[in-house]
Amino acid sequence: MPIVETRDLVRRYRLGGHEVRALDGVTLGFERGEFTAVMGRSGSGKSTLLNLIGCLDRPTSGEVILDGVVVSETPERELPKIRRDMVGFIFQHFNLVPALTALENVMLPLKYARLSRAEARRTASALLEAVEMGQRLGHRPSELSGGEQQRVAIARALVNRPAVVLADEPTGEVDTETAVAIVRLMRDLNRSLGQTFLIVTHDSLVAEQTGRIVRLKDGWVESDAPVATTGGSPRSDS
Amino acid sequence: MIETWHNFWRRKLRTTLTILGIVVGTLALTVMGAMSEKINLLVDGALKYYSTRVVVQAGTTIPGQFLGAVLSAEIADDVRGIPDVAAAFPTVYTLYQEDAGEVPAASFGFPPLVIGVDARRFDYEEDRYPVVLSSGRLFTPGERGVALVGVDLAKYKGVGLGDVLTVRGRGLEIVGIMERTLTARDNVAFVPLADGQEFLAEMLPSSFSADPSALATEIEVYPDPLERADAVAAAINREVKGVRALAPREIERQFSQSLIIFNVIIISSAVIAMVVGGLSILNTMVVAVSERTREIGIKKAVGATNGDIMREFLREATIIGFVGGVVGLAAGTLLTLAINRFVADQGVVIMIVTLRLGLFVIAFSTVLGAAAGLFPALAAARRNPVEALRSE
Repeated sequence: MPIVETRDLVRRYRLGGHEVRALDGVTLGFERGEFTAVMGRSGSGKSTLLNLIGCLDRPTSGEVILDGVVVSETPERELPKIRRDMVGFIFQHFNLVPALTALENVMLPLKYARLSRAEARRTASALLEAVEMGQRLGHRPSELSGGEQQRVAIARALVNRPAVVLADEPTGEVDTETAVAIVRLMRDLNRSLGQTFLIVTHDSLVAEQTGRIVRLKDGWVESDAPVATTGGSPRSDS
Repeated sequence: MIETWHNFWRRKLRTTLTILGIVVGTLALTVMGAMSEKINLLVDGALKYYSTRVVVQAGTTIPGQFLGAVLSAEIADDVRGIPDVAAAFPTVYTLYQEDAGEVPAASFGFPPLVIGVDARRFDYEEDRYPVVLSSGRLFTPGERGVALVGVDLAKYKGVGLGDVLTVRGRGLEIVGIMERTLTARDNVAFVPLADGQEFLAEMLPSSFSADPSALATEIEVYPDPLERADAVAAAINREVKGVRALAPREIERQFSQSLIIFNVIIISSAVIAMVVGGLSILNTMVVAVSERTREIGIKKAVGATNGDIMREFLREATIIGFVGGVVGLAAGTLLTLAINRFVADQGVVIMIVTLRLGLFVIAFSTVLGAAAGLFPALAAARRNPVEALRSE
């Protein structure tokens, strides 16, 4: 059974008097531990798809199923809990809270999960170690490079052990070398922790490192295929 | 909490200015409140005083006039004949003057008074509004040249038990110091009636050549039982010509009415100052919410509930209110002490920061902060996460 499933997903909204069909009947399934790239031009519906799967937005029609739960029908007040426990977000602009240190940023989802401060600190530190940020726990986002900020953001997305990690252009604001390192980090974590990753990207270099590429066009699935070269078996770090 | 502190620190100037707005309001509330508290205590004392006796003044005394017009001491004899009157004594109120030529200074509060009283009245005060001494003794009938001094007056003149209090150039031996009451009594000297009458006679124009022992500014009447006070006042007004007897209930009504009006004016002006401070919190929080819109989106994406977001902003506003309240109360207390010290050379205390005033001021500013933060916090909590994340 897929861990993430969308069934005939439609999202329409009005923009300046016109109706925009951001998603127009998308049916997809992602197995546990899958590492997938979602590609497509601007306005193809990539981010909308991520927002709907991540329960930040509600579909006009259709269903989103996370780990067997039809979250698109879940009452509004229960969505924060689903976002907190089942979904991890990684954003293009890193989106760390500027007032908080790296450690505190990673502790944030645990704080909302009402975990004790000591336990949250332990879990968050361990994860920051795993993303090689153990030396920068007390630094605030403004004191970190783009690549470092994205590592912190990745740690934050994983700290609650979510069913699915949704990354929206995670390498959009870093140089190529850092981009490669970040995708490799995500791939390693995907393999070691077994989380499902959905990565929205423009960058074919990033997409090639995933196991499957879903292409969207005008709100529908144009193609959905495994990556031929490295698909499913990413190149080793050696 | 760390995050709250860091958010304050990131916007040091803005936070400081907002707190300052509350400080100014709280300071005003503290000072005005301290003034009102002092007046309340004075009025409480006066009420206690007037509710235990019927005061007879000359008919020519303007109602509410502070020192009554002169009337004949013999009226006391007429009053004693009225049913239910246990005793009636002439009393002489004069402004305190150290030298005969001294012009009493204009005063902020209750000016020092010299009150000539019949020593026998102390017996009747026992279960009414007794003169309580912290040291010394009461004077006795027939005794002359002595004084019981209120604690503020003693401090102001720098005198103590056994010292001499100079009144209109005459030395009076201080035989008793009265305990602090926080009422007008702290600022008076009780002297034997005959001495008080002589002081009054000296102060009257020379055309008013009367026997000092015939002078009084009011007659204090002790009804027995006390419940008959209003009836006694009515009987005096009916039967004794040229005087006005003030019934306790009537006085109480007048006092409470003017006290309410006074308090409303004083406190409302300070509350307006506070509300202006509250608006500055509102403004600051509205700006904070719009600046941190993306942050709200991030927090919602990682699992914050509307309640979590609301609490964060509400906490900031409440802390601003609380800190402003504490600082404002401290500043206000210092200011009242300074003002009291400034007017101390007139022998008056015009302000008191009571515990209940302090608690009220802090509670008010904290609740105000929370109230001002409520709308921005609600607005923050209701932000749509997708739109919030898209904002710059």
